Amino acid sequence: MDIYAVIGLGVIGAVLAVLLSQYRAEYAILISIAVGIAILYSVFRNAWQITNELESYIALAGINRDFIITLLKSLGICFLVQFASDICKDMGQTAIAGKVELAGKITVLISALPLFSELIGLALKLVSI
Amino acid sequence: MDVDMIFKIAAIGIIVAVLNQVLIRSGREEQAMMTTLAGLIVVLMMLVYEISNLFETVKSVFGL
Repeated sequence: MDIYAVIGLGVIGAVLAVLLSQYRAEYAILISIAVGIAILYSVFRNAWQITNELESYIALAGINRDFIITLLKSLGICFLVQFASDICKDMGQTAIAGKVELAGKITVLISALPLFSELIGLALKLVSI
Repeated sequence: MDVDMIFKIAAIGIIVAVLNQVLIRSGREEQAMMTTLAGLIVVLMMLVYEISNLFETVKSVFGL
């Protein structure tokens, strides 16, 4: 889906959401979720080219491969957490949005722990020379 | 991901709103509430299916 379809979808979805929010407020939220899913799905469907290209560059540069794996994993987590917390904020549930974001931060931190240990090891090796 | 799902949800929302008004005007508040709940459940089922598709795509792209 090219960018024009995404723009049209966003505008139409916003108009439909406002239209429905006068009668049934919950359908406005459902429409915004549906538009979000449609746009994110079309974006991520052809995002694999970016990740493949990135991995080939990393392999070219000879950097350790699991750095890029952790990077992509935390990127995916951040996208999904952003998607969920925006929906919660739309509905006015900022408390739930904050909890979701906290969970996302902790998950990313946990997935990046091995990188920290490698960094510390590298630093110690440099210092000990 | 078909775009017309969004218009389906909008259509369901409008129909449920109209049905709700008709039922309330004719004095059947409980049926009106039931209709609203039914419409909501139908739309949520559709959305849950699409959300799982999105999560599968993101998982495959980012290797989660």
